[in-house]
Amino acid sequence: MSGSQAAGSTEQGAASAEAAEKEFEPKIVAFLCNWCSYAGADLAGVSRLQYPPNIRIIRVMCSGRISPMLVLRALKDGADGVLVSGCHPGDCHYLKGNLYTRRNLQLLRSMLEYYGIEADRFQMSWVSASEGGKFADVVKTAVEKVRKLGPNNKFKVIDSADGGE
Amino acid sequence: MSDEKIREEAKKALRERGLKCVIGWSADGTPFFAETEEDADKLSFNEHCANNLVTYLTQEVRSQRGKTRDGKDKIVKPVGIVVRGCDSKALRLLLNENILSRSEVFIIGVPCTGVVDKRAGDVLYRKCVKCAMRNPVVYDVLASDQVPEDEKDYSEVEAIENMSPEERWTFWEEIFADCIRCHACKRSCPVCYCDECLLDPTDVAIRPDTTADEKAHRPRWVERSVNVRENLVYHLARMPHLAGRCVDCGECERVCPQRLPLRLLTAKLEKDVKKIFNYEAACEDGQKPLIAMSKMEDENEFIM
Repeated sequence: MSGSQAAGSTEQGAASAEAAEKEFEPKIVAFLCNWCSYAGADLAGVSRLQYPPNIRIIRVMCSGRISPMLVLRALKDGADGVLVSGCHPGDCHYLKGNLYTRRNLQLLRSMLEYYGIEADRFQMSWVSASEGGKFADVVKTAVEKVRKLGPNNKFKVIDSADGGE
Repeated sequence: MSDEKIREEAKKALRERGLKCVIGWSADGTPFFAETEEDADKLSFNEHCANNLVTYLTQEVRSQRGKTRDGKDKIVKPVGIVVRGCDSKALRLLLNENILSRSEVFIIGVPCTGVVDKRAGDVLYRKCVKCAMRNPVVYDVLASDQVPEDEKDYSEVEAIENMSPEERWTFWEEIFADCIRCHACKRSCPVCYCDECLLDPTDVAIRPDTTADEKAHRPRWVERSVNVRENLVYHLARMPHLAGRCVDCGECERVCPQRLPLRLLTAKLEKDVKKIFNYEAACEDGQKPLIAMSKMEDENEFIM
């Protein structure tokens, strides 16, 4: 009896390890602008569209608020991915906020790649208030891309190695 | 020779323009502030004059600003400076960003054929081997004849771009493991002129009315502790602030006590800015800053 129990637990252990590997659930920090993308996310919810629960939404008044520092800090502190979403170009509530952020963050994305951090960890999208369906799609794609990359342990590994010294 | 010309012009300007001082180099290459005409005889320019003096210029001019007791603007005495090609680009950027005004500075330009690195045994600095900005771009007088310039060389950046992501990460990890975060790169940078830097928590102004709570909760985007992870983020976080502003004068790399190849980062930034936005820092007078502009037709491909 005890033998079968032991076998059961190892089987279970192997199964759970496998499951953990298979079902890596990324955590993605999503910065959504108040006027378009947040409303789009709201619409997706109201329309009962399904999208993965892996995103943690932070609402900002404009995507122009997103400083590269916010993105870096999120990645540094262990987020597996960052999604920044704003109004379509030309539709910004503050006229040009999203255009400024596009410039800024495009350079950041390129620098991240130069550092060896996968560019897909940082993603941007334009979602308007009426595009609930697009929001659900964006989240699905973003989560799939980050899931493929695996956990963001670049900063973690360094931290533990450092603590050990 | 250029030395005599520099001295002559410095004396003339001190006499006629009422300069506060002329910032230049002495013959051994150390920075030298000439306040009188006798001092001006010690000014010199040779291959040992490696410092970028523009940071001093900003301090000299800004420290004179303010209000008098009756609320009027203080009179700012113009400050003279001797600049090489790379320095003059940084100076032009400051003029474009209205940090300095043209009437506050008197510029003596010296075309430069490269300066040598004493620490490395009197060989040319890496930035000077192939230099696309040997001739000053903004000046009142030029101390010698212009010299031929080279094409900008990005081969080192391209070599890193061609590595795999894992290789790149290891590459930077090894480099920044040595960083001691002395902030010399930031302090010496001519275009990093903010009084409070968000990457340096010790930099936040503490006034008499700053409460303990405010001190405790000042933003700490990068922790003060020196470990590889924070070092990597610190250097990466500097880049967005230099986007379209870094003129590649190489001062950060020159002052680094750990001799980190910091220009590999700024050169990549410069290359990107050129490629994506067709923009070059300080390439003309009165140019608008890259990040303060926006265009509907900017690249949109990377966005979902």
